[in-house]
Amino acid sequence: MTHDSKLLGLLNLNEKVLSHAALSHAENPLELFSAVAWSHLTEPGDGFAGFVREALGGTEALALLVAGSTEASWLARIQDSGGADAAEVSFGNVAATLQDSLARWTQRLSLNKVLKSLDDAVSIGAHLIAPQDANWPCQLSALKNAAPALLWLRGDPKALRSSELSWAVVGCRTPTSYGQEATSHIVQGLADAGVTIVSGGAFGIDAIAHHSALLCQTPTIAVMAGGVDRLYPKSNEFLLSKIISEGAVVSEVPLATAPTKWRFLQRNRIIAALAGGTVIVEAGYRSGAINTANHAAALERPVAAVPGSIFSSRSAGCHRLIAEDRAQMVESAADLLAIFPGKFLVDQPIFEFMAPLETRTFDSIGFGAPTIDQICRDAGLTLSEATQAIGSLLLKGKVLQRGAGYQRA
Amino acid sequence: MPLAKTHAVSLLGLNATLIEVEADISSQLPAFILVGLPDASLSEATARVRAAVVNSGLAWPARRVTVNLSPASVPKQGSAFDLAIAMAVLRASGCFQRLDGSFNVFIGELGLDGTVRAVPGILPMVRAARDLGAPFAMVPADSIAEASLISGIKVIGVKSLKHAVAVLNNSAEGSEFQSPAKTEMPAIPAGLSADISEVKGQDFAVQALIVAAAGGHHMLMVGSPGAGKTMLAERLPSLLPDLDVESALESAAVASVAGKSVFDGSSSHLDLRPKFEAPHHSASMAAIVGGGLKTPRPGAISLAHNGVLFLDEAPEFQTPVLDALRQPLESGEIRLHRSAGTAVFPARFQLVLAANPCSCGKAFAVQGCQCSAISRARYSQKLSGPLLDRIDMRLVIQPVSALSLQMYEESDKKSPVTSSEARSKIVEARKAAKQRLSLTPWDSNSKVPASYLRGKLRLARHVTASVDTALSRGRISMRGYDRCLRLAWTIADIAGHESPSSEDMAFAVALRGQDVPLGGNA
Repeated sequence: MTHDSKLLGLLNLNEKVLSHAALSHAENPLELFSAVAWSHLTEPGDGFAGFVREALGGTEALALLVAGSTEASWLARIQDSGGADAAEVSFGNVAATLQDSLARWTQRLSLNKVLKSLDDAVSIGAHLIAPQDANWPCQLSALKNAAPALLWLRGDPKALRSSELSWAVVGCRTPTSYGQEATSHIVQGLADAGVTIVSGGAFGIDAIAHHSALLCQTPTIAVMAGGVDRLYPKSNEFLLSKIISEGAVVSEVPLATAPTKWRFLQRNRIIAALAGGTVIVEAGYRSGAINTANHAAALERPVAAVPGSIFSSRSAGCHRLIAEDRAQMVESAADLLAIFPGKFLVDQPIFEFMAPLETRTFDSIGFGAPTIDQICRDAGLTLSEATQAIGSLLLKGKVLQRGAGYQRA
Repeated sequence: MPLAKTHAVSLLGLNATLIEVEADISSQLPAFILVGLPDASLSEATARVRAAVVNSGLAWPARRVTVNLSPASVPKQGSAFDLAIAMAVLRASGCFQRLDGSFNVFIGELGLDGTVRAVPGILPMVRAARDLGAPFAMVPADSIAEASLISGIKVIGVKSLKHAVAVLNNSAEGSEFQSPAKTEMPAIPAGLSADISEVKGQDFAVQALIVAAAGGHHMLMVGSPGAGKTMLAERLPSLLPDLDVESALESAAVASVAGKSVFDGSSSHLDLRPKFEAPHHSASMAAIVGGGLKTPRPGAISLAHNGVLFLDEAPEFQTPVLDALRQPLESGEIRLHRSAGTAVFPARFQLVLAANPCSCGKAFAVQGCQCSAISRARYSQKLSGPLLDRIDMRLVIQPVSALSLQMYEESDKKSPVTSSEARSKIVEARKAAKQRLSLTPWDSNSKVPASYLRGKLRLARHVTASVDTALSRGRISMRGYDRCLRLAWTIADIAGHESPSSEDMAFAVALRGQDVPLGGNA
């Protein structure tokens, strides 16, 4: 406690701040506060910030920054922590990197901004998920120094727990009808296996992936490039609000942050790190989805791609990944589940096979068009067996109704 | 007592208004004046009432008689006010000791000889009198059984004006027309004429009919002439459970207004069986939905309230008539706007349409059909999309061949399902549905909107997986998907499942039929 109050003093903070509704639930509100502050201070992917948080502790590093400590004292502290060698490996000239970083961070120091975002978080019901939180997705640590200081989340924080067994389903924003169908087909299969679907909440494949997941009642997580109070893109607002009510919308940047090109690219790194693997359904030759695939590959996570037509520009990116051996070619959820399995065992073949009763029914149809009553007699089935079999065969497109009877399709 | 008052009831649709009938006798030149917005038929009451009074041996005041029907703003029509007018005049002329100013309702038409004749609408009129707090109502003797169906009001049946006077004067003559003992509601329905077990070799169609009866699903049957569509449709009422007394009274009120019997056969029991209305395809709009120039009468859809409306040769009906069914199918009632006001009749019916596959009727036959593609297309367009959208089951029926009929007769292991066996299952299924929907505005699966089926009643993924895939591959339409869901719930209710299984879904897919089964796909 004395340690904390000393830090409070160094941070020029009032004890009251820590009893803010957005912080008070945490085991260590001060630590959560410093995570919030760091998420304000840095742009996504700031490796050096990650390094100093790791080496010195988030709160201590924040205290040094607030106190306006000299570069020398920072370097001394880094030396004391024993992280100097690691820093040299990662950043080369540590002193120069430190100088730039301090300049960047200091100009963003604003207690008011932090407090305002805490107030906003309470008013829109956003959760602050710091690494100490029980729901923190530990697989983000694969990002090493570039791991986010904090996740801002709207929806159910428990959705994050299921994210380790998840697939990121991503792709271009203007999919073909083939891409749309392939997305929903694959998401359906993954949902049956109890797999969480992670995506970026954007137009196209992202939206279809989320939408299908919602329909199939499997958890889904949308990772935003801007603040979670700005549901972007605007026209997906309804979808995103559905995700909030049934899954989670997360972002590493604070509320009220605008999505920018850089943040989109960095968002892709969160998607890749959050999901167990990444599948690209349709992507052009130079697509954001390829960027996500690169992030996933860098994290040594499995990458899969769905093949398409050789004449479709929107499959060119997938074909390139497959050709360069950077992604495994997949046709169905079953292929993805072979890479790592979901919670449940399922069998969702693309080619629909017939159950025994259906085969008997199909056989009795022959090349005529018998009615269900005739099928019952010919195949020796009860009325309800034959009716159910005909229903399934109709759904599978194996038979068609012709007049009062049914014929092979 | 130169001024007296009685009450009568004016009906508009099933809505009743209490009418005060005031009679005034003043010392002027003899005359009989009726005021208060009577229509032509009611204005004639002056002639009937006067002759009836005189011919009953009662004295007609030789002074100026003014009768006012109030509220004067309500249009009134028909001859049901005769008795109330006569009683008001007689009371004003001092004919009674007993008839005080209390709230008494008189209903009946008078003959010139003083006979009290029956009028349509006795049931809703007496019900209205009771609801408005009248302690007793006097009705024609012929209608006493109908009026006695309403409890909570004392009804007296009178044969003639003379008897009416005697009853009110409490003389011995009147006692023989006291209200009879209340009729008991029958526990067992009277014998049903057509039984489902008479349908041979159409097991699938029978099964479909049972599902339709259990869920209240509207149905379209397509088949060549002689396939048995009419036979099946006529047996649908035998599958429907008895109405509860409340619903039966509602149906009876419509029948009463239409001048039809409200009884079960020739007995004096309230008819608890669902009605079956099968108008011919030449029927006019007014005959189907109800109508009339000033004051609307109920049409076939209201007569089929709580029962079945069967339109045989549906594509031969006038298109506007068919499309007029859409609104009552949604709201369960029909509002008819006329100069006299708006009449509302209940119209919650199960619709059964029957149609040939094409205009020559042979589209499914081996010896091909003669129709051109255009004529087939035109025939299939007779049933509009919005109407078909409301029909969950589209059944194609093939005539039973001589061979299969023989095979059916020979297979003695088969004991066909009888209507009463099926009905007990249907009662259970309806109970299950009603319980599930108890917190919603709907009471049967057929009425549940698709959004609720896909929302609150969403099924587990593994149940809908095959239908979802079929939907995503374009093998079934979204509307077809919703119809499958609706039917699957009914199938589950019949099977006693908590919620539909994937087998129930497959069953529903086969029962739902094609999106547009007309026109033939040969």
